[in-house]
Amino acid sequence: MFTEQQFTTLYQMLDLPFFNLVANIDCGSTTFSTCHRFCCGCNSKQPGPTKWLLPNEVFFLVENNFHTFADIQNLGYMFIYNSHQSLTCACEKIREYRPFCCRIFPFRPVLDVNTKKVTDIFRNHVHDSPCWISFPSHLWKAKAIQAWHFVFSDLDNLRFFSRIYLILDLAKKLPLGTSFSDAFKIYPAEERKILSIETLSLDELWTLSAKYFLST
Amino acid sequence: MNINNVNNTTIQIAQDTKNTNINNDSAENPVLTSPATSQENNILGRTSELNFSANFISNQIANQLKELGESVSTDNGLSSDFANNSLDFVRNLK
Repeated sequence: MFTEQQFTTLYQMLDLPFFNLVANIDCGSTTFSTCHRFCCGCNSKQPGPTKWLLPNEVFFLVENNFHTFADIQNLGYMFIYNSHQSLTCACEKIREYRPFCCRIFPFRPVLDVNTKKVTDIFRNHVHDSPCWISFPSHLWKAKAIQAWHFVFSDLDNLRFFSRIYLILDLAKKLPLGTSFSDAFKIYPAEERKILSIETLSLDELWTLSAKYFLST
Repeated sequence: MNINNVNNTTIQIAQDTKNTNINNDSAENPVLTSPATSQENNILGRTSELNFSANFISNQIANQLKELGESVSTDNGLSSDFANNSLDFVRNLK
């Protein structure tokens, strides 16, 4: 898992102005947007995109007081967070510790499984439809690719996304609201896969992670 | 591993806040396991509050985490009792 220093490095990689074609605006730090803070506004009462944390990121953030501005929830297989208030970005007053998932959104990495490198980023058009960000600057794009590559240099991060893919794949077979225990009764083989992620090879982890980012 | 195994996995507590290797069991960063002392039981009690449904980490708990350098993990990287949770959170990750 990433250390405190590695999270600091990761965040610094993306501490750049975020350009789109018409404006130079740091998403979440301004009231000007056409998305009406779709991502920031959601919480337990108002569903929206799930804002996730990388393995160990919660401890880095709590260490730096992020929890003062956000509700953090432990799902067991990952930590997620929401702002205390609707339509208020959790990170608005703590931009220095804006989590990785928000820094990198709405772009996903393109993974080359053979070379085990991140070759590009692309916008996820399925879950981010209200997002006003169209294109990153060339500089930001290069940094984002570098940041993703840094993330995947850590085995636990690869395991994290691999596990998420397996869980997502399982969720798609089942109705909304299904619990893990109910799902595992129906799909015991999937249970074994999800719980034995540490046994997978590097090739398998890259393959599953690549599938996750291409999934819808 | 089945659900029962998951629920019974050991909660490990790393004492050093700066120690980001949660499973580190070196002499410098000892891992506490049951049976626990009363102080450790208090820590484990708070840890249980972090587990699953309706388990928002309050500022108080988060501060305790910070003070205690508390980390939670299992031998397979999952917190115990995750089986009761819904799969839905992964359907729309940011």
